[in-house]
Amino acid sequence: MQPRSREMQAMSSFLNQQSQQMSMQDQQNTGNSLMNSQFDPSSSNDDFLEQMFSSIGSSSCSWPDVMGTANPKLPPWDLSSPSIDSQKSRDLAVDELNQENVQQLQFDDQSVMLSSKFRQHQISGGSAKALLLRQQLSSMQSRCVGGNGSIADETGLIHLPLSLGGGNDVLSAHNNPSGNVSVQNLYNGYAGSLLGSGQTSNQFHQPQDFGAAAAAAAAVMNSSAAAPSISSAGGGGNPGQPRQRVRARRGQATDPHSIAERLRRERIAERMKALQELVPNGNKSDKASMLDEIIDYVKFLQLQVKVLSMSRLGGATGAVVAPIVADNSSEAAARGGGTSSINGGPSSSTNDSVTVTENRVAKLMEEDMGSAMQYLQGKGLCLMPISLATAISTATCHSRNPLPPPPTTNAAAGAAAAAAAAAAGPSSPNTPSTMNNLLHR
Amino acid sequence: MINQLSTMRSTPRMTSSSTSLKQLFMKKWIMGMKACSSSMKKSSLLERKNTIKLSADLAMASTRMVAGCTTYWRRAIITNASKDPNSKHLINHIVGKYSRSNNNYNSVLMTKITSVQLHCTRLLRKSRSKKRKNIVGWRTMSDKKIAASILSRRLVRKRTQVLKSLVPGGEAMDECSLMKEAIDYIISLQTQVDGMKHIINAVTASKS
Repeated sequence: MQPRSREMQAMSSFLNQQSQQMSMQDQQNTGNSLMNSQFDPSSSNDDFLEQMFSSIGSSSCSWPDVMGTANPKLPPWDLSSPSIDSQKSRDLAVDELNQENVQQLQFDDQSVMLSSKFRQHQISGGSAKALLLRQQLSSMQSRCVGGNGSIADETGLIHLPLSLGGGNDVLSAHNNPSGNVSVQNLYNGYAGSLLGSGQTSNQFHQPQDFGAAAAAAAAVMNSSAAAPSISSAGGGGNPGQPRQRVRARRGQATDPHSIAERLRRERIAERMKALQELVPNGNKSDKASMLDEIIDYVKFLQLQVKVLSMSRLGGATGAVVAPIVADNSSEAAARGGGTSSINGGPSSSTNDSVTVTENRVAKLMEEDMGSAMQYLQGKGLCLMPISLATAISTATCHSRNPLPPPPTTNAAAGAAAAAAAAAAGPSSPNTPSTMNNLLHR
Repeated sequence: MINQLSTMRSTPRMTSSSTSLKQLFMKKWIMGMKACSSSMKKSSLLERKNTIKLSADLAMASTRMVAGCTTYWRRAIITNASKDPNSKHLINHIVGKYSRSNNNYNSVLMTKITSVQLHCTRLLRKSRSKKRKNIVGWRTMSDKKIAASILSRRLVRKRTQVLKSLVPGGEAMDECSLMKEAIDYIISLQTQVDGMKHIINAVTASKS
C-alpha cells in the first residue's frame, strides 16, 4: 500500500517504457569504453547515487522538452540511420545536444546555488553528497537545455558553474577545452538518466555500459515521439514564463504552489532512495515502513555506541548492566520532561514495556544468570552479543528468509546482554546457550 | 569472531573517503580520552562511561565540520554538550578552533530561524491541504482509498516525529532537511561504531 501520486505513476510508466526499449537495444550493444572513462570512477555506492539522482532529475522533464524542440530542427536518427551503431549514435547525440545548447540555455539561480553547494562539498572532502549535488547540477543543466527558447551564450554560462568550483580535482578534470566539457557533462546527465531509468533499485552495483545508453538514446528518441508530443501539449500551456525550471505535465496544475510541492516531494523521494541503500533491510517501497526501518536502525546504532563505550571498562556483570538501564530511565525521564507534547500515546507505551522488561532482566542477572535466561526464554527472547545480532540481521535481510526474526526484541535483549557478554569477555558458556536458544526457536 | 564480523560488515562499502573519516574519528577520540585520563581514574564507572561516550560523540561531530557544511546535527550535539559545565574542557580539546564563536552565533541564529520557518511551513501546509481537498481528483477516488491515504499519512507523520526526536537537533527542521540530516547522521554513526570496534579490538588483543 503506497500512496502514489499522479506524477509518480506517470513517471513510473514513462520509465517502464524506457526500460523496455533499453532491453531491446541491449541486443545491439557493442562494448564502448569511451563513455565509461567519462563516467566518474567511484565506488559502487556512489555509482548508485549518481544513477538514481540523474534518473530522477532528468527523466522527469527533460524528455518532452528535448523531443519537442528537436524535431523541427534536425531529425538526426530517424531516417538516415537504419543500421546505426553505437559510435555514430553517440556522435549524433553529441551533435544534437550541441545544437540544442547553442540555442537554448538558460542559467538560473538554482544551478548557481547547486554549484556553490557542490564546491563547498568538494572542499570539505567529497562524499556521496557531493556526487548528489553534481548530478543535480548536471540534471539541472540538461533540464535547461530543452527548457525554453531563450538564446544565451552557451560556453560562458555553462562554464560559470563549473568554474565556480575551480581548483578541485574533479572539476579540474572537467575544465577541458570549451565546448566539449559542457557537452560531455550534459551527455553524462542525459545518458545517465537512461541508465538510471532502466534499473531497479536492486541493481546498483552492476557496471553499466554507456554504449547501451547511446544506442538506446537513438531508439528512445525515435519511438517515444508520440508520448512526448502529448506531454509537450500540456507543457506548452505555459510557454510565456521565462524562468520556468520544471515543465508541467499534462493535466496537472501549473501554479507555483504545486510545482514547489512537487519539487519538494521529489527531493524527499531522492533522499529516501539514498537511505534505502544505507539502511539494511531497506527494500521496502512504502514510505511508512521505510521510515520505521530507519528509526530502528538509528536506535540500534546509538545503542551500539553506548554499549561499546561501556565494554572496555570491565567490571562485574551487574555493575555493567545497571548503568545502561539507569541511563535508559534517566533519558526517558529527561525526554519526557522536556518534550511532553510530542511523544504520542502508543510510542511511549511500547517504550515503557521494553524498559520494564530490561529492568527485570537486569535485576535477575545480578542475582543469577540462569534465572535471567529462563525469564527471557519464557518471553520468547534470547540473549546474544550485539555483533552476532548484526551479523544475523544482515544475513536475514540478504536471504529474505521466511522465519520472522523480531529485531526489536533481539536488540532489547541484546542490549542488556551485550554489556554482560562483552565486558565479561567472550564468555563461552553464554554463547553456546544462546545459539541453542536461537536454534530451538 | 568479532573481528571477522566487523570486517564482514565494513568491507562492502569501504571507500577511501570513509576510511580516512574513520581514521580521523579514531584519532580524535583517542586524543580526547587522553586529555581527561587523569581525572578518569578517580571517577566512578558511570562517569567514565559518560566521558568516553561524550568524547566519541564530540569526535564524530567534529569531523567534517567545515564552514560551509549545512547539516545541523553536529552543531546540535556540540551545543548540547557545551551546556554542561563539566565537559567544557573536553569540548575545547576535541572540537577546537571553530567551535566556540561559530557555534554560539550559528546555533542561536539557527534556532530562531528554524522555529519561525517551522511555523510558516506549518501554516502553508494547512492552507495547502485545505486547497487540495477541492481538487477534482479527490472525488474520483473511492472512500477506501481516501481512508487508506489518510491513515498512511498519519503513520508517516508519527514516524517522522520519532525520527525528529532521535536525530540530534532534528526538532526544528522540515521533513526534507530531516532526511538529509538522517543520511549524514547514519553514515557518521556507522563510522563511529566501526572505529570504536577497531580500537577496542586492538586494545583487548594487546592486553590478552
